Amino acid sequence: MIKIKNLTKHYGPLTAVKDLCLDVAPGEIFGFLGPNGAGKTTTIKIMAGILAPTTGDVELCGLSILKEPSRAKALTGYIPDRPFLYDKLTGIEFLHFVAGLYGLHPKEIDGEIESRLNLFDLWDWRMELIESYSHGMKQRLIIISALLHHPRVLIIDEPMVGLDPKGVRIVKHLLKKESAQGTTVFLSTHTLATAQEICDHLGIIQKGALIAVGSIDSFAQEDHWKAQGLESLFLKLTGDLEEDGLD
Amino acid sequence: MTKTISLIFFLLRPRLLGFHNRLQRLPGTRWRVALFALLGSAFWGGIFYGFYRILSYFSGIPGFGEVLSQKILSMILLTFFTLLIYSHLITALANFFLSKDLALIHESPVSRLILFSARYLESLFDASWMVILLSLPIFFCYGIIFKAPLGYYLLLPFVFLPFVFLAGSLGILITLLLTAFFPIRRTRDLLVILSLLLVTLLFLIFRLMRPEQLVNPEQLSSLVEYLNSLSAQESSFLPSSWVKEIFWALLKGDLLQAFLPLGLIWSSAVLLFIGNLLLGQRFFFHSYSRSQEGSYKGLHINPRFDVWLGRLLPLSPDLRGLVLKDLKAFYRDKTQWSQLFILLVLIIVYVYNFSVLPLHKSPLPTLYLKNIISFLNLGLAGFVLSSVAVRFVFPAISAEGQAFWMIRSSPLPLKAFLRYKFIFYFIPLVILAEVLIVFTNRQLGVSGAMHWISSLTMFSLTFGLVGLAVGLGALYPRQGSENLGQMATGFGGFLYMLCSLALIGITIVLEAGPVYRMLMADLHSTPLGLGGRWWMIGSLGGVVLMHIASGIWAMRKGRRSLEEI
Repeated sequence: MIKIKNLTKHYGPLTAVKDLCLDVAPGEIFGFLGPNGAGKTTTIKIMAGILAPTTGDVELCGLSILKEPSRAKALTGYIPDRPFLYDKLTGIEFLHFVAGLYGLHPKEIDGEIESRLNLFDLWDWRMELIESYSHGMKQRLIIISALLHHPRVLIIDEPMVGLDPKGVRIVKHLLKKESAQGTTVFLSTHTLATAQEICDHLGIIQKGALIAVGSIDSFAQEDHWKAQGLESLFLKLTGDLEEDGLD
Repeated sequence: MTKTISLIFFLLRPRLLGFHNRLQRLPGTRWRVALFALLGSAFWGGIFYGFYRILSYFSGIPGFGEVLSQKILSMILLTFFTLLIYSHLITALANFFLSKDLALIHESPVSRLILFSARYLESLFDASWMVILLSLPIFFCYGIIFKAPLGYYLLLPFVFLPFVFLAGSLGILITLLLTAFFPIRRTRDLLVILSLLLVTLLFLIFRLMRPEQLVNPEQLSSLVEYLNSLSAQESSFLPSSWVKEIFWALLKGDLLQAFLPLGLIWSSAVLLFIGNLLLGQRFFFHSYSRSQEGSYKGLHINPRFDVWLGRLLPLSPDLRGLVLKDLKAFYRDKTQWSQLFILLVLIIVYVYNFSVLPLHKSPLPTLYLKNIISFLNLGLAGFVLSSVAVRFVFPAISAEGQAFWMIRSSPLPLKAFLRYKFIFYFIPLVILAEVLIVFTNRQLGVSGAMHWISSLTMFSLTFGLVGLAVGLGALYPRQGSENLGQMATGFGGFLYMLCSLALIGITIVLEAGPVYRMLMADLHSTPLGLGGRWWMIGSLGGVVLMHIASGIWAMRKGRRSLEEI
C-alpha cells in the first residue's frame, strides 16, 4: 500500500534522508520512530506531496506521488505536526473547504461532519472562528478534516501533540478502527507508549537512514524490550542510552 | 473547463469567507472599513482635483498643449507599468511560495496548475487594485478635459485589463525565473532592497530636478524639449506606448486606430499567460519545495561581535539581553534596515528643500520670514518624526510577536520593559529630530533664541511622540502580523497618526503667540519686556509638560492594556 523507493533528500550539504526503502502492507499501522532531526518529518512531507525528494519515489496505493500526485493524494489523508488552519474561518467552513479540495460537496458530508464533530466534542464550537480554538481543539479539527474523504492511506506526523487524555483515547480508537477497515496508517511519533500500543510494525530512523524495521512482535523479542519496554530498546538502537549529565 | 475555473475560484474561498467573517464578527471592523473607505475617497478626490488642475494647465497651453498632454500620459503609463511589474514581483513571491496555507493545498489532490492559476489571480488582484484605483481619476480627467465620447469610459476596462494582466504576467515571469534558480527567501530580501533603492533613487532624482521650475512659463519650451528627448518612453516595443495609442484614439473617438494596439496588447497578455502556465508547470512545485528548505541553512554568526557589544553596554543583564536581541533582530532583517535608505534620502531632500526656498522673491522681510519658516518647520519635522515613529516605534511591542510570553513570564516588570522600549527608540529619534532642526536652521541662517526654542521644543516633542508610539503600540498590538511594515497600517497606527498630529498642532498653537511677539520685537529692535518673557516661559513650559504628560499617559494606558491580556 505504501512503497518508499530509495528515497533521498538533501538540504544543501545536509542529507536529511538517505536511500530509504520501506514497504507498508494494507491495513497496517506502521510506527515511524526516530530522535529529533532524524528525517521523519522530511520523509512524511515527501509522502504527502509537499516536498520534492532529491532522488527516489513514493508509491501510495500503487500511484507514484511524483508522477501522479493528484490521484495519489486523493486516496491519502495527511495530518501534519504543525497544521495550518485559516484563523478567520469557522470550524465548519474549514471542513467544507477541505472537503471541497477533495471534490466533496457539503451536502454529501454534512452528516459525517456532524458525527465526527460530536465524537471530538467540537459540535458546539462549529460556528466559532478557529482563532478562538485551543491547540488541542485545532488538532482535533485537523484530524477530522483528514478523515472526511475516507482515505485509504493515512499519513500522520505526531498525532497526540496537544490532545487531552480523552482526545488521545479517541484518536487511538479511531486509528485502530480505520486500520481494521483496511486503511493503512503511517504514523510518526515520539510517544513510544502509543506506538507500542497501536502499531503492528515499527521502523526506526536515525540520521536519515532506517536502522531497524520489523513487526512489533519481533521487537518484543529483544532483551532490552523484555527488560524495560520499547523506550529502552529505542534508546539502545539510537545509541542514546548513556544519558550523561542527567543527574 | 468550467470545473477548472470553478475550482480556481473555490481556492479563493477562504480569503473571501475570512473577510466576510471579519466584517460580521470582529467588533469595530465595519467602522474601520468605513473609515478607510472615507479616507480613500478623500484621497481619490484629492488626486482627481490635483491632476485635473495640472492637466487643465498643460492642455491649455496654446500650441503644444495636446502634445504635452500626450507626453504626460506616456510618462504616467510607463510609471504605472514599471510599478505594476515591481509590485507583482513582491506579491507573487509571497502568494506562490511563502503563504502558510500552501502546504494545506499542496497536500490535497488539487492539481498544481489549478493552484498556480488561483495564486496567479490572487497576485494580480493584490498587486494591482491600488494602482488601478489611483489611476482612474487620472483617466477620468483626460476624458473630461478632452471631452471624450461615452465609448472612452465604457472601453476603459478593456484597455486596463490586458495592461495590468501583461505587466503582472511580466512580474510573475521574472519571479518564476528568479525562484527557479535562487533561494526564495534571499530573492525576496534582494527584491525588497532593490525596489526600495529604486524608489529612493527615483525620488531623489525627481527632487533634484527641481520640478517646481516646470510650472514657470519661461521654462516651458525647455520642458517640451526635455519631454521630446525622452524617446525611450515612446518606443513601439513598450506596452505602455500601445496603451497610450489606444487611450488617445479612444479619447478622439477613433475606434479604428485603437484596434491594432488593442489586439497587440490582448494577444501579448494571453501569450505571456500561456508562457507562464508552462513555466509554472515546470518550476512551481520544485521552487515551492525549495522554499521550505531555506530555514535549514543557518546564518553565519560572529559570536565575538555579540561579546563586544555586550561588554559595551553598561546595563543589567536583562536590559542588555533586550538591547542585544532588538539590535540583532533589526540588522539581521534586511527588509528592516534597508528602509533606512529611504529615511536618509528623505532627510537629504528635506534639508535640501530649505536651501532652495525662493525667500528673496517674497515681499516680506527676509529675517522675519526665515524665523517664521523655522518655527513652522517644527510642525513639518514633527510630522516626519511621527511618520518614522509609526513605522519603526509603533510596531515595537507587536514585533515581540509570539515570543511575548517570554517577557511576560520573566521577572522583568512590564513597566521596565516599556521604559526600555521607550529609551531604545528615543535616542535615535531625538538625534534625527535635532539633526533636522539644526541643519534646516543652518540652511535658513536662523540662530539665537529661535534656534534654541525650536531645539528644545523638538526634544520634548520627540519624548511625547515616542511615548505615544510605544504606548499606543502596546494598546493595539498585532502579534499575529508577519510583516512589521503592515502593523503600522492598521487602526492603531491610524489613531497614533491622529494623536501625534494633534500633539504637533497644539504645540504650534501654544507657541505661536509668544514666538510672534518675540519676532516682532526683534524686527522692530525693541525689548521683549517682562510680560513677553513670562508668556514665552509659560508657553514653552506648558508645551514641555504637555509632551511629557502625553508620552507617560500613553505608556501607562499601554501597560495596563498589556497587563490585562
